[in-house]
Amino acid sequence: MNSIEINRIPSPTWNKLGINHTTLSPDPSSLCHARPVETEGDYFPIVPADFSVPGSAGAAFTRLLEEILPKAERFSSLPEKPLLIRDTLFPGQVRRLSLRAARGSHLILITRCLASSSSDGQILEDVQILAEAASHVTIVQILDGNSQEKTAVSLAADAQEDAKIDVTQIVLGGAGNILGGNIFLRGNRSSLDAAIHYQCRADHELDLNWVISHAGQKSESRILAQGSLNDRCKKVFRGTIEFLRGAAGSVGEETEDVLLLSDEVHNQTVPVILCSEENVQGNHGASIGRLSDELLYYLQSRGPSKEDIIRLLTAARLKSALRRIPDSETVQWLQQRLNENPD
Amino acid sequence: MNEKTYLDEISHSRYDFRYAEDNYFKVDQGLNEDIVLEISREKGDPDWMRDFRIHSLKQYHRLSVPDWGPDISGLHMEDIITYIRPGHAGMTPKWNELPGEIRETFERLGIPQAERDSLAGVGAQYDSEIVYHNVREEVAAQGVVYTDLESALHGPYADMIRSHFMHLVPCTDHKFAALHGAVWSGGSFVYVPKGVSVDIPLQSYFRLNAPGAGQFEHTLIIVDEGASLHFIEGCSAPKYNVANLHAGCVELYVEKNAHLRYSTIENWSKNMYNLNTKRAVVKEGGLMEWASGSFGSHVSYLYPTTILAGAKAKMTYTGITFAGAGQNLDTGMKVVHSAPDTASVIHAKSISKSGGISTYRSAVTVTPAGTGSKSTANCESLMLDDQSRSDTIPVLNINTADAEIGHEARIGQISNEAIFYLMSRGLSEEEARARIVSGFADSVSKELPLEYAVEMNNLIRLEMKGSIG
Repeated sequence: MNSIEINRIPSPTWNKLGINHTTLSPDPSSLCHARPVETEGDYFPIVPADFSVPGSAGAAFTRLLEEILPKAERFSSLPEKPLLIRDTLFPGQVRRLSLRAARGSHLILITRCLASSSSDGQILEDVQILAEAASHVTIVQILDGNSQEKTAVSLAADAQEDAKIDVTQIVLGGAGNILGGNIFLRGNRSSLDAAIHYQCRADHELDLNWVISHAGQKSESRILAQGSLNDRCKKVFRGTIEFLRGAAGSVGEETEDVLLLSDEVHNQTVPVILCSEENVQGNHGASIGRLSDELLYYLQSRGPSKEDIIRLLTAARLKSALRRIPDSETVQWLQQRLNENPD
Repeated sequence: MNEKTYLDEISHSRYDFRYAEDNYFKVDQGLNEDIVLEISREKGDPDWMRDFRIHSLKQYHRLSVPDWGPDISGLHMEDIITYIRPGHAGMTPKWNELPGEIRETFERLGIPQAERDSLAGVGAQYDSEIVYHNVREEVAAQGVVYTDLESALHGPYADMIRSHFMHLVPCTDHKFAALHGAVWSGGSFVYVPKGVSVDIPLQSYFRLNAPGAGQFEHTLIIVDEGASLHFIEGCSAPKYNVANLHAGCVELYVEKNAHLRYSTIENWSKNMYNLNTKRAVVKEGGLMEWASGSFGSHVSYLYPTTILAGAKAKMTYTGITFAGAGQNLDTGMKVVHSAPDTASVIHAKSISKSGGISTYRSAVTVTPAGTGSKSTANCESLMLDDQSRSDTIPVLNINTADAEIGHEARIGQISNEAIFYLMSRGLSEEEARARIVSGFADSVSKELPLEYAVEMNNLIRLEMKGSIG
């Protein structure tokens, strides 16, 4: 199958920079359905079909997964009740999830994409979430492993009035990771709090495409992308905050903090603000650089080598994401993973 | 003693006036090899330039229009006249030798007065040709060359032109650079010798008078080692109900330890497609400063680019864009840090009102050779109503760990508290908003000579008229 363009930025810029999208060369014949998710809590296997927010990876990716898996797995929480979904994918597996957080409920989705060199193959997932009024959705996506194949996870969410969406994405490894989120803050006072923590090394590539659209009044978004780049890796972060006309009183804030650890890394950042509404506040701040000599000198004076210091700081950045995970089983797994093999 | 500056009542009539093109020479509308060869013959090109034009035309046909910026589908090259020459005989160093309507045009724009008051030299272009060029004797005596590009092409600097012309902006760069290479006409050449400091600015002013015409002037400036120059570029046109096109090209060479400041007040009419290309290369220890105010045109694609090619080279960019009704202004900058310890500082501001669209687009690139480089960018956008649009699309493209890159962007509105405060001091709401917007633009006007800062504030006041209700 031919390669497809995915993770396309909504407002493209100079093509020569090679930053407007990335590509995926899928092999549908080698992909199969992932094993069923684990759930804790009651649910309905029905979700309204009229979901209109495109996935962060784009329409071509969604069409591809629809061809492989005509039917999505559907879970709808019960009003005012919690529902936890644990979702694990391995190489060669694909999944489509369609979720609804019912009014006042708390829906938690924990996804782990565990690539490994022993069983190669792509991992592809498409997640759609409808967050009904006053619901709370927590999404944790962990991408790990040392596969040479790509992992691509597409996320779309539609937040209604007073809905709250928290997203934590943790990238620990993998030769080619493609992820992001397209969050439509439709309802008044709906909100998004997203944190992306990553470490990227060797020849690995990380491609992130985040789009947050403010449509509801007094909607709020905050996105933090923080990580370290080492060896010859390449990272692209596209972060778009769009204020649509009518989103009066909305606030969007985007922060990026990149630690560069090698002279051969390639970091590309496109922090976009699109604004059609007068009464909003949109802010972006980016800080990209290496470890300061002063900090390095101070820490080395306490004993550890430069390599140990880099390892400690990288792990500390990743561990700061632990407190955002509302599932002790996942926290325990992640802690063990970081302690055993911080690289 | 402090002096107060009193501003006359301002109106668009200062810029929006026109004259008939009686006895003017024009090529046919459109773009083909015959037209390009006709322009080449008219200008008496050397063979290499004629061949370059034909090569550029081929590139133009090969390249696509951008698929990422404002819509330019309303620009039809088959309707554009690419070369139009006033009927009088050539360029003169005396204003009173110009034909009446051309002399009157520049007098109404205040150019002769500005030359007398505060400039070291002036070049004035009317449609496709430079009609006036003059430089003060004491500046010329320092060895400073300031002339029209065609004269330089045939004079003692011919080899220098050939070795620099469209080397920084190759005709393959993009479709409108190729168009420029094929049909360029007019523009200025400046050479500042080693160690010479030109203490007062030079200015080129570009006036496009004819409806449906294009202007394709080429500005080539070389500031040699340890020299310094401030160059000012101004432009305007009357408004027509057909599309006009500006696809000029500016190439700036800042040699070792040299300093060039390039200031622009762009006030094209609002039927203009402004697809201009500006690029500078800065050698070791050199400094390039851009000060840019974009007020006019229907659509703009304008991104002054700086290549910091020598160690410790520096660049500053201070720009403001004001997009009103019917305008889609896509402006910003690009900088490439390709040598060690280079630095760039970017301050960009934009204002949108009455349905105007303002986009700040930028790219900061640090190559692997740009170790120890630093870049800071600050971008602020002001929305004056809920009918307008303001977008910010910066790219940070970093290829080494040894770099410190910071970027901040903010979009917001005028605070009601500030308007209320000013109104409580006796200002009308319109005046209060205009004052706040002028203050917002202050960081740019501070970078301009007084006369041009006044003109910029006039333009802001003009744009803010009728902004209430």
